[in-house]
Amino acid sequence: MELQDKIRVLAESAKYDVSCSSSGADRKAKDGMLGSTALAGICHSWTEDGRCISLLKILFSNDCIYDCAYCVNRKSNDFQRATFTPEELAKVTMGFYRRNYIEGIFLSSAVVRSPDHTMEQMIEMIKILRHTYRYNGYIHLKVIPGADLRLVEMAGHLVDRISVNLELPTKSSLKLLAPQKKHGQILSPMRFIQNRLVDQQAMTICQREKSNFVPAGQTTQIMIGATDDSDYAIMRISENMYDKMAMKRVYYSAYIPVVQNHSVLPDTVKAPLLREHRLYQADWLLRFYGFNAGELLNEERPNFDLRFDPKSDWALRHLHLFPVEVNKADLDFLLRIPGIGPTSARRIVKARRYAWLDYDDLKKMGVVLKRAKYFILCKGKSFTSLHGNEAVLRNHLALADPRLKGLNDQLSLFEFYPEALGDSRIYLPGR
Amino acid sequence: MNVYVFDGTFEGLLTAVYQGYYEDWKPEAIVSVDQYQQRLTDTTKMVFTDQVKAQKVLSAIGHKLGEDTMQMVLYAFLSEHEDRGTYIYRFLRFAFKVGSRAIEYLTNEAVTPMWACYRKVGREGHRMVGLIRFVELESGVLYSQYESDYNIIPILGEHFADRLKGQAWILHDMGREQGAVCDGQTWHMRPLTTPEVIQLHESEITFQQLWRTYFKHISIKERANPKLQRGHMPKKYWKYLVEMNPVDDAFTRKQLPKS
Repeated sequence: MELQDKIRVLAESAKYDVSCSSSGADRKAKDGMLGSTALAGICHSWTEDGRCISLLKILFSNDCIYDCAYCVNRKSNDFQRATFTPEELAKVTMGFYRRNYIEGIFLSSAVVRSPDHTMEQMIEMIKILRHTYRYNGYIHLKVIPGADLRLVEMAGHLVDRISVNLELPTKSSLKLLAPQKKHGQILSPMRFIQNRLVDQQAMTICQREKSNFVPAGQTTQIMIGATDDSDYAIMRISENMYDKMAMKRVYYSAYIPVVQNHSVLPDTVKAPLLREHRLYQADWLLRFYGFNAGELLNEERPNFDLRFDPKSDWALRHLHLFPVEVNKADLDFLLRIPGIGPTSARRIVKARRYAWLDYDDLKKMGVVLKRAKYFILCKGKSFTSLHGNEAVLRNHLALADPRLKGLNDQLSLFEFYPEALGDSRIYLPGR
Repeated sequence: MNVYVFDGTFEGLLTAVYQGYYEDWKPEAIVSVDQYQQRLTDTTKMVFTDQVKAQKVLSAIGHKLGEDTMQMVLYAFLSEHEDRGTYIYRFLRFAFKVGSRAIEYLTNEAVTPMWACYRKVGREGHRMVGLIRFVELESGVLYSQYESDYNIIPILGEHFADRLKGQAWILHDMGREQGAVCDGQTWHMRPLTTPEVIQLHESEITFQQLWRTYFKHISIKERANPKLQRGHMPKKYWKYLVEMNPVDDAFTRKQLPKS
């Protein structure tokens, strides 16, 4: 098979993987080696679906012995199979990297012959890249569940980031859709990596540099929409992953129907992209905004209201805390104001040391007020008459969300929130 | 209005700042000669670049204001904004008064335009670090053509000097007809003209084709969202991207003399 065809087939097979981030490792160039890594990561292109290409995301092989129902590469799917040799994939990676097409490689694979065999092949390719081609750029490796932990250990010293995919939110859904993968096989390498990272933290800086075990940490991925697990269940799992497994990131992948008329899988036509987006927003709230899953959702309200971002939704349910004076609120609370992110919040804290801020100051500093204006006071002044009027606020926020544009065209405002009917004439131009 | 006119170089601007401090005739604006349009009410003074004076201002910024401020001044200069000279002068007068935390006065009118320039240049610099595409020449040198809104050659030069350590490369800013050249050890900026013929390395076309193939097939059809794509990667950058140009185009274009 020609190299062109292998690239085509194995990119097709890898495209549903979400992660492409090249962040988390900060490594300058070394003498005699080519490449460096940037702490914040660098995107190199954007495909037609609007997703960024940072890493060369590709499978080593799509010739799988497993038959997971949701996966394009499942054994029973009748389509073209391909497998790289370690040497040819290393050569392509290096060629792309030198031309600045990519920031590094994200290597994953279907299970060829056995988990151990697959891992060995992938490690071989990484060794060629690091040792023969003297490559010093970013490598993200996905662990094959069930592979020997000694192989995971060996790989850990060669790469920047490792991921083990949870695949499905719960043990029971995994049993249903991927009976050959065992929940324990997924958790054990995760725990192993986490323990090694903890060990490493106890080392001196010198020892740590020498050991250099997955400097950019580990990540995982959960598929959503293929089973009926609730958003709350998923957020609880993510929270656990961050707290107990020291995950750097949990990725969410909207299930794209690759099989129809399956006995267990939903016959959806469209992937639940908006739901995926809301989960990502909530994930950010867990990591950078000091929220916990229980504040956003609970057993009675297990799913996100898709019309609002989770932070606005939280604020609307806590209107008694707003409006808040931006010149006085502490950083933790600034972060809870809809529309204000960590960058803006930190800018506010810095700038107000030197001068009291008013509305125009915030604008000058680049704070986006589209949503925030409904929740803040500057020098005691408010900029809208809508504070505290929940129904009308809901209306405004839902209409302001560009993601809902299509939805808004179809639904009239009154269908959205009929209780706002009385007031809406006053506030909405054209109504 | 009292206007100082400098020669357009960074050193020239720093000389103007120096003179703004030590001469009685104070400037209300400092403008680069190629961007200056004289008005009837203006009285002007030409500033002659003086390396010693420029160096004095530079080391004062370094010692008294620190790295972050230094970078902000440089980025504001690279923005090529017509008021950059005035912005930098006003900012430095303020900063030497309040010290190294000057850039934190986010709402001060001497500081806000500096941040605005800094963000614009920083954003484009970061974007181009990813969007630069090299071709490998027959000689093994990596060569890249690009165009940018701001003069980001120093940002790119510094990045690739580290990233491609030991490798010879050329970054060619087509709009400004300038570039950065590295021989594998050190790099420097210099004027560049467009070569009429480029001799490519024998493997070049193959890698480009592999990349186009990859680019096409890594996209998920069901999630097509060209608007989002353009939001992240505006069309103005497409001209030099291998993956956004069909097979031979990117090359025939480069081989044609400029019309």
